[in-house]
Amino acid sequence: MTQPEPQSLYLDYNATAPLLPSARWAMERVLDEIGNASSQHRFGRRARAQIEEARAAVAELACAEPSQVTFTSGGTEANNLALWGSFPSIWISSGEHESVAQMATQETRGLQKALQQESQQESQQESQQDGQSGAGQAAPYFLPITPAGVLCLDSLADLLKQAEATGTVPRLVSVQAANNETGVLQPLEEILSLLEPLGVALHIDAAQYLGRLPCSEAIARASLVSISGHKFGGAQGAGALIIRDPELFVPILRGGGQESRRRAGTENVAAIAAFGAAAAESLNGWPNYSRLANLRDDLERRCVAAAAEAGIGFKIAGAESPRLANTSCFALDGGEATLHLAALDLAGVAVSSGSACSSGRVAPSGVLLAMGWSESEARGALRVSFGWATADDTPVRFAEIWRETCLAPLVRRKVVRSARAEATAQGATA
Amino acid sequence: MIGTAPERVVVAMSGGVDSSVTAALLKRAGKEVIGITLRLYDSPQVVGSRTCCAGRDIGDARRVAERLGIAHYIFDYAERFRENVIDDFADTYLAGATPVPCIRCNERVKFADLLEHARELGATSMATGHYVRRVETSNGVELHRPRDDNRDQTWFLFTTTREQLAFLRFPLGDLEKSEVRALAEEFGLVVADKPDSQDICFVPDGDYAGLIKRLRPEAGQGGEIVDQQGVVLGRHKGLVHYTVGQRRGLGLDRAGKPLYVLKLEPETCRVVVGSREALLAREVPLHGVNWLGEQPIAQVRAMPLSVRLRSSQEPIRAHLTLHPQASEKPALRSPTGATGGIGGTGGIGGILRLDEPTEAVAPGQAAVFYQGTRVLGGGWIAPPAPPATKEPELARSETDSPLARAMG
Repeated sequence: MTQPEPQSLYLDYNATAPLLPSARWAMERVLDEIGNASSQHRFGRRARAQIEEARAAVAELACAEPSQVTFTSGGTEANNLALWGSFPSIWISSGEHESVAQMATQETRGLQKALQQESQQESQQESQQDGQSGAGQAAPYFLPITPAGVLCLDSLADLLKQAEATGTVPRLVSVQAANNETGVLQPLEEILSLLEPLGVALHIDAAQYLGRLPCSEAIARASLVSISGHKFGGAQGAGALIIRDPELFVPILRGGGQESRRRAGTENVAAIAAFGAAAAESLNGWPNYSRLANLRDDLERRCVAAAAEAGIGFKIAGAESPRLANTSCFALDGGEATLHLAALDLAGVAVSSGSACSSGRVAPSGVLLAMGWSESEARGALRVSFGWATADDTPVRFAEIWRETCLAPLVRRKVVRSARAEATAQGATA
Repeated sequence: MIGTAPERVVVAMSGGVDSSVTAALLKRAGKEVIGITLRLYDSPQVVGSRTCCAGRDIGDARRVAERLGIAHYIFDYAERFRENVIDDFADTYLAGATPVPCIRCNERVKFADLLEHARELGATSMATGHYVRRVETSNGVELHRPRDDNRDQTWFLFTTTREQLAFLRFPLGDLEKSEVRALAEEFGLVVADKPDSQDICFVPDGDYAGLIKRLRPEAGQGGEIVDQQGVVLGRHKGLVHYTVGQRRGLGLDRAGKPLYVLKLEPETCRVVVGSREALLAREVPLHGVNWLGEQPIAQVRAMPLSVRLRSSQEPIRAHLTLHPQASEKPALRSPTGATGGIGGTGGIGGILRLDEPTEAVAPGQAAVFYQGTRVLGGGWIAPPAPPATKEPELARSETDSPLARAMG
């Protein structure tokens, strides 16, 4: 009953950040009220007002107009929606979040076709759209990234030139603002300047970026932008897609007039209100990211030193690239992320592995593989991510616990194995 | 209470009732319990589309851990399991023998990697839901048969080394299965009424031959069924469909005289059949012996003990002789060159001389040694006539072997 709970250290903000007090307050206020935002009575109007207030804040966060904001259940839905309308004429940066990458699968393609056939019968307009996308019937293309984790601009330029010559220019290119695992920032302005002359639209998955950093020039111009509320202190269950070019958009959920018919279904008003409050808080005073950058650099220095002292290889993903200040992704040579996650968790430290994991099935991280990491290196990768509530003594505490629970057992394993190998060798010569 | 951290124990939780109760008992005893569930196979790839259970078992383990309020982790061991258990399973069949994947899993996965991982997580012991007893004596730790004879799993744990035993705990060894189910009810575990697993976990539909043919397409190659004189009696549809001692499915019974599989010959792809009497064996050659007795190997000469040649058999009297096995090479290879579980990995070999001849000892199965309730170890049953061996004792077994005699 009274097992001492180790003092916990939550370092998984890229999975989800703790709720900001202001977001919590906004949410609680909504939970105390009744009212469906589609209703005409005063209760409905009040719910609607909450949503519209949040919409204004989120719009400002993304340098957009409120009418361009469509609320979704989160970043994944926003990404799915963003790509749905242009499939399959899409190029995708390698190492994107699964909610983008999986939109390129055959299953999605089958689904998409079925849906479009349905909508053709319903609407003349959409059948024309289908005809347009028929020009680029090739499967989505995955754009290479460099070993530093950055989209390879030269390749993109070359590929666009070839595509222009063959008439296979894509409708949409999808790139993350910041990678969820490595934190590496993509050169969005440069990408946009390659795309715009050809009339190719850009989708930016800004789930890990907006709310943490001010809107960039590219985010202000991109045709589609995904945002997630709970990565920077909003509640889980609300995100948004900024739609600047409605031509690119085909709804998935139908059957109601919510969100200007772009996303049917009763709104998650409480989570949307929290999203809005978190956005407003960011706009009122940006989180101190230089503080987080210092913490991150300090943590990495300590881990590098400890690994070097132990004689175990240590690798940081994208260290040479501009990165989100709050994210560090690294691997010990021979380390196993699932084991290290458990070891750290038992010591009260919450981090994440670079791998996608469902029901225990661990697939090595796509972005690390795209950066040229081997499968075994990728299986060892841990991701540490900070945020607004991360304390200043985090690097010291983390490095100490990590050294004890992850590094030391690896050193012991190495010693035991070399002793065994020696014994076997001696046995063989004897 | 203050200041002393509870002992940390890793429990291998399969999602079944036994390992769930194991975790609950240790939690109740005041330990810091960490549940670990292994994901061992990719259902669709390995077992075809009919499967259901891997994901459900993992979910059950997770729910039990939530109920008990213990830490729970899922480790992806699919690669290790494929290399060490599934491949071995297929290759052993291909080499004309009959594997026991559950023993391989304990030997090479649960008590190897998982045990190492448990140590690295700072655990001082690892518990499983096996029905076996671990007894600490002045001479060290011993493995014994459990209180519930019907549930005895010692046969499946014969490869457990002394070092592993020192770290392992088996809290169910003194309980009857019915008591375990009652405890599951008492603890309010969702798995209290869950049926026992029957088949090999990665072949839930029981279609071993189908799985092996998917993994090793060459396994479907048919061949001749011959009698001991080499007279062709018919054709078979692949060695994987047969195991030594099998009678059904041959379709060859002569009037009043049933025929049994005596031997599978992967080199010629032949199934050798004969009468029931020809199945009787008095000597059983062994590979890869794990010896848990106090006596040095060299002193185990015609040592009287009991032995089990299959999991559910009551132990029978025999005399055991052990010898170091010089050859690291497996004794038998499949036509593709794959080496199965029958080979053992060097170490200790042996000969069992059974007091009473017994029937159908299939190569690849296990022979486990007992003295009273204590397990003295065991070995893998080797093929009766290992070709081109330089071992004098094995060479002797070649001419002495029951099948050689039966054929001669």
